[in-house]
Amino acid sequence: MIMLEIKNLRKSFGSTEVLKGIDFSLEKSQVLSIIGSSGSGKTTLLRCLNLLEKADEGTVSVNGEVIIDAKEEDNYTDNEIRDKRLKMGLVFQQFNLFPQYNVLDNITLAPITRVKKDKSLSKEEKAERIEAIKSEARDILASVGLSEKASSYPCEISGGQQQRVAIARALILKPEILCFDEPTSALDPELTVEVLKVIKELKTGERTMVIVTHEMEFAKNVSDKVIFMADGVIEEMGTPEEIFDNPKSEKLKAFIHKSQDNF
Amino acid sequence: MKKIISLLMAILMIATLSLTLTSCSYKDDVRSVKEAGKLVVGVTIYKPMDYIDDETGEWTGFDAELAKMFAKELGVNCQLVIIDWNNKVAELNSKQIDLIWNGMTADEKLGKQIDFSVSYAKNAQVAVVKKNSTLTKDGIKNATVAVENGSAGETVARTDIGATKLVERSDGQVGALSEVLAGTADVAIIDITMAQSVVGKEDYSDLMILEGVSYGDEIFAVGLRKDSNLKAKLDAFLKAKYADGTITDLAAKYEVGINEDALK
Amino acid sequence: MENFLNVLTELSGGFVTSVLLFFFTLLLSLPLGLIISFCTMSKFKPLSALSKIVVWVLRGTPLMLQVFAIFYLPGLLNLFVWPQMNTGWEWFDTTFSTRFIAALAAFAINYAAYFSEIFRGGIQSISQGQYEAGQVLGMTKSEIFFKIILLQVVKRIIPPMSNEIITLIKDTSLANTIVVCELIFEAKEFMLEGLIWPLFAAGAFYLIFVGVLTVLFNKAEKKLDYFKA
Repeated sequence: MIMLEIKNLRKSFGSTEVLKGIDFSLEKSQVLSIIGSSGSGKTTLLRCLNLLEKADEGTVSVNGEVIIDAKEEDNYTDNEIRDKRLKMGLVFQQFNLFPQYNVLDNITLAPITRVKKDKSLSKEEKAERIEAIKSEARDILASVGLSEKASSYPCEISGGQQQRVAIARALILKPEILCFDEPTSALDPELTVEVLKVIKELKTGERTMVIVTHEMEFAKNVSDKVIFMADGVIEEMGTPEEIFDNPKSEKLKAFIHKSQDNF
Repeated sequence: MKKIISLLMAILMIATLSLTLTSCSYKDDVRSVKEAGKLVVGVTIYKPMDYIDDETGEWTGFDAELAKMFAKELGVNCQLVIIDWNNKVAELNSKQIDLIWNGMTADEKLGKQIDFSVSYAKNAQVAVVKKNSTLTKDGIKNATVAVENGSAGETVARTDIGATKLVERSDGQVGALSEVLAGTADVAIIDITMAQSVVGKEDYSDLMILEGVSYGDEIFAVGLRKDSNLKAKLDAFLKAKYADGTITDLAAKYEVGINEDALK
Repeated sequence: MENFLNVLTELSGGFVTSVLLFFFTLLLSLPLGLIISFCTMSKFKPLSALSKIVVWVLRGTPLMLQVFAIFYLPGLLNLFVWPQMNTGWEWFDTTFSTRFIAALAAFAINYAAYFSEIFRGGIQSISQGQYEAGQVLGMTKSEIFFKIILLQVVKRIIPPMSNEIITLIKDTSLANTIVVCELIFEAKEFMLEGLIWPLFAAGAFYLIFVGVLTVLFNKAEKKLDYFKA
């Protein structure tokens, strides 16, 4: 069953064409890794999926439903955009936790805000839901191994812990597809491990994930499918074995060679 | 750019037009005062012309008493409002006040902006120095002279005396006195009426009026908006009050020199 | 001694006027400043250009001149005359005189212009990532602003804001241009009676008030010390 389908996605910034027609699809519960050198367009692709950038052309479908049609994108109301965004979750390179809230509140802020302004709920129902959200947040926090940090502030915990909180914050909204934008690039190597471990554990669930990453070893181990992007196009696409063990294009060969040199 | 310039021009034209309209419009002040039920008189605290009596808390003084009488004659209440002397013309022309009645010197320059009533009192400028001062009349020219900005004292200091070192205070004639007191000026040129009422008293006990030094014959008048129809009423009122002896009595009470020639 | 008490009573009356002017100015200029800062940052070019011009004029001309213009210009241009307060309650009518209201209007507009620039700087210093994090969590623009951005902005602008606000209490003395009977005005009235020291006593009133403000701002700063933004 196809979860995510992207057709002819194009995006330019001024006269620079960053995405030159992207087509691919992803099955439910699969993990897709997108690799490629800086400036190849992979982050822009992810931002288009999350409606942080407006695509110029193309469509994005989730679970058979077209959620982004570039021709229509200007006409979406704020409410529509919000609903579409909630089908996706995004974990940022820079975590982007809210500094004034503690860890638990960072996770519960968005869902509790939604409950609070829901006029169809009575006062008691609201209190009930908020309690439920809080207890769920604690469960998720436990699953990323941060139970004891619930009342810490972002400035009091390490970068790796902050990124695990950011993952928990995305998880509580139960997105159909969870996206990661270079989740470990801002971390020291020793902190990278703990974050990658958490992402790997998410795979055991039925979660569909799109991960933009520079961690080749990780991509190889965790992915069902790998896309190699170069200059705004999908240069090569396939299973991890096909991409890493039998690269066909010269660009991919050079890229893999270069990333191995770094270790 | 062209658009901006034409826009600015349009704004300027509208502003000029409305200013012209203002100066053309006939000022039926008698009617507007009667409609408002009050005569608003702009004053400053200036003994013995306009000041607040410590015991009653009411306005009193030579000018204040006359203003009250005039309002009574018009059949309206009299409201004395403290103004910033520098803004007296703006206060008058923006209709915040109807008259300026505050021992105001009627001079030619001011006469271009506003109208004057018949002059009802006279004044002169005197020099105030510290009691131990050795300053003479001839020495004032080269001394540091404190005056109130825009006052008759300033005109005298500049033209009659030709002083070069001027300290101009914008906070009243007492401001000029405090300069002398603080030693930051050698001499202050202020109204004789003012000088007689404060010099030698309280904090100003160290000061004295320099004997035999007096400048400028000034005449006091009430200020009105240009072409105001209050002027005829006011002139008639002042002359009548002179004729029946009221002004003469007030002048004796407050030690003010009246302008008999003008009031006859 | 009686004289001393009399002076203090009069000065206190003036101080109340100064403080009222101060508080009402803050009350009006803070939200107005926020609105102006949004206009300045608006993507709609004519609006941002217009508000930039307004801020330029308000910051580029002396406050004293603005007070003067607001009070006298309507009458001078024959447009209208500011009406007098007339509730019959004497304290109210004299304290909130036309002159007070005109000064308040000038102060509120002028300070809103200064505040708007501080707000703009504060808002633009917050990283784009904070907005995007809120967006992908499905929060609305106003939720993002009020629940995520605002407190971070507040923390960053406390130092420049406390500077402006301390300047404001002393600037209230400019209201005596149009004879609002505030602290300095009352103090100067005593000079007519030959007393100079009340003017310096007035300084003590400001000093104490600014002292209290300083303590409050330090407290606010401490209170927001728990996070880094």
